[in-house]
Amino acid sequence: MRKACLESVYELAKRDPRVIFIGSDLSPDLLSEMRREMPDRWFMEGVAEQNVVGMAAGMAIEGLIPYTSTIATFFTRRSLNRLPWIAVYTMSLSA
Amino acid sequence: MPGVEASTGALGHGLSIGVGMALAARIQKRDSRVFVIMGDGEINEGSVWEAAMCAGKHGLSRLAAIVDYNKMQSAGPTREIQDLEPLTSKWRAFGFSTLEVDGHDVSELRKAFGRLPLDGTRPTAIICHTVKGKGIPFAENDPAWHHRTKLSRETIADMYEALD
Repeated sequence: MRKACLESVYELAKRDPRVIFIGSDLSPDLLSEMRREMPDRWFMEGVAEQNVVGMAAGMAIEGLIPYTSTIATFFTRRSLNRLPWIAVYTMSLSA
Repeated sequence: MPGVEASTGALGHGLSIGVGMALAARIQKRDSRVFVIMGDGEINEGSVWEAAMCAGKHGLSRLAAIVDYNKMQSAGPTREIQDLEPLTSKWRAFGFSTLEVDGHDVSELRKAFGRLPLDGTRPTAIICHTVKGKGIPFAENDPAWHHRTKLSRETIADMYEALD
């Protein structure tokens, strides 16, 4: 499932230049084709889940479509505090 | 609000959002600049330093982090609650160019902002030395004024008088 999700991000990125991938210290060959073909839209950041979600929010505010991925156990709870605020910003943009 | 795309809450999330906005500008080949204002108490948050590391890594020269350094957080002086010193060196160690200014001196601030970016390969941190409650003598440097809900009519009148 993980592979299918990640490959889907790459497929979406090929179709839409607004699509961005942001990972948080995942495996070294993750989405390597996307990395090679569109290096400016492929990000591998450190072990910093709050930052990854905040970064994605900043990109979304500017009209990009970021997809973030990392280990569920850490990502869900460490970033939870950020999500309601980010939802408010992005909803107010689309309103 | 145009020009102010994100609010101050949750504490410590602003710099990450600024990093994302600056990266978006780079991807979209826009020359816009991003400014993030943070309180000195706020930068106790670990997420600020996650974002600082990331901004340094990406060399986001169009990003400026502004710290309102009044040395007073909710519970008391920063040097007692959570000392931030050496603050300028910390930002430098995270990959920022730094400037220190008197945060109440508008012409000094204009000069500082006019110099941005200090370095075309690094983000900038501007440390603004300020006085909490500046201009209201009975509130200056008094953490009891960090947040208040009940004000007497007399106090409100005194505040207006101080501002006149």
